[in-house]
Amino acid sequence: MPSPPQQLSAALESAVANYAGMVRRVAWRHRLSDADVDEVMQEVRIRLWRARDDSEQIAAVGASYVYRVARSAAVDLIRRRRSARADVSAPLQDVAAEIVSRTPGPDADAASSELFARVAAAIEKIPASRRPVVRMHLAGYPREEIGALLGWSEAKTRNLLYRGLADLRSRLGDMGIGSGGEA
Amino acid sequence: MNEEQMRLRYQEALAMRRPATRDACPEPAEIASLAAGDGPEARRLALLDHVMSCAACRREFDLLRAVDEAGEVSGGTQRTHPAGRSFVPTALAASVALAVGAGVVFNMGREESDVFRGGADAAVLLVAPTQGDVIDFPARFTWRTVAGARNYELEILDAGGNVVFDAETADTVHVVAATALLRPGRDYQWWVGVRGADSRLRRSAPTGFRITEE
Repeated sequence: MPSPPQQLSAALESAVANYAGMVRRVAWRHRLSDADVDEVMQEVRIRLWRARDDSEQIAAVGASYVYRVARSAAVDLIRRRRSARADVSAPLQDVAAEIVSRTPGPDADAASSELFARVAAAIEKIPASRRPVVRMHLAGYPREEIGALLGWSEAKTRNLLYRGLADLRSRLGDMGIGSGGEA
Repeated sequence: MNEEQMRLRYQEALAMRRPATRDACPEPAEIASLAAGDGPEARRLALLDHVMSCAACRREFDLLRAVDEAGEVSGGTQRTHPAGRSFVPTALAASVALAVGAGVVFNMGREESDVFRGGADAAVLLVAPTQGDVIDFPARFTWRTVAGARNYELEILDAGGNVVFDAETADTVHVVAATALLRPGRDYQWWVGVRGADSRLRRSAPTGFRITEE
């Protein structure tokens, strides 16, 4: 019996492959591994194969159907991992390994950990409306993405971010952390 | 230590922090809604506050966000860009329209001080579509490679200067499938930004095109 993925029509397989390529390109930006994407897309193929009796309708829906299936598959994957109490996915481990390879040694690890604790404590003291924006910025998300996610204009995003960072710098300054100060 | 160094150290430390239990973490469906931008703002802010301080939730969020963004790019879903989301102020947008093809240099904002140039000095040189082209779907946008570029950010703007489509890619070509966000017979402009090793964003000069009539 042929494996499920081979049962998809050529057109639908093309749509799935095209969508998977887009997911990978976006995932690359967030340093997600191909393993996560592969697992979701494999589930997408399985679900589409199971629905092959409605292949005409599926083919007609196209990209929107693939997206909905992928979104559902991703949520289910996350649920399964949590239920199995699986360790975090490879990407985190890869990142950690990369960090270890780049980090000079345990002293630097301790310094980063201490800095994180202080920054986290300072963030808790800034206004609640600005905290998530500051966290996203520190986590490396571009301002445009922050605004898009929150549905904010560019001006609002910029203003709240700048005020939040100013608050953070002020709190860190109170702790003796800042430019030219304790690192 | 400057801000960029603090960000890097913060990201390193955050990536290594794993919760002992997920009891305090939001449900996957809630994170999916957050990634899609759904729900009241207050709830989204609260969820985001947790997700961005929890490495496990953040990885889940990034995966769901990747699925959603790919859906938007493929035309499988549409995120309504909220009113007011404009990265080109209206007055400036009018200037952009007049300046297309004239090689005008202008500033995008105080903070990043992006400089946009037309002509040979452009950070990114757009290849196709060119000024005045009438295009159909699937539409293929291509530009020249920029040495040292980490990735490229394609944006399509409407006549009001609002960003109606955006995509990020490591390639120098991006194919846009048919989408209700780009309407037949309408004029748009497109440009490409590139982030170099210093993370500064430098954009090409905008180029106008039209979507073919139905």
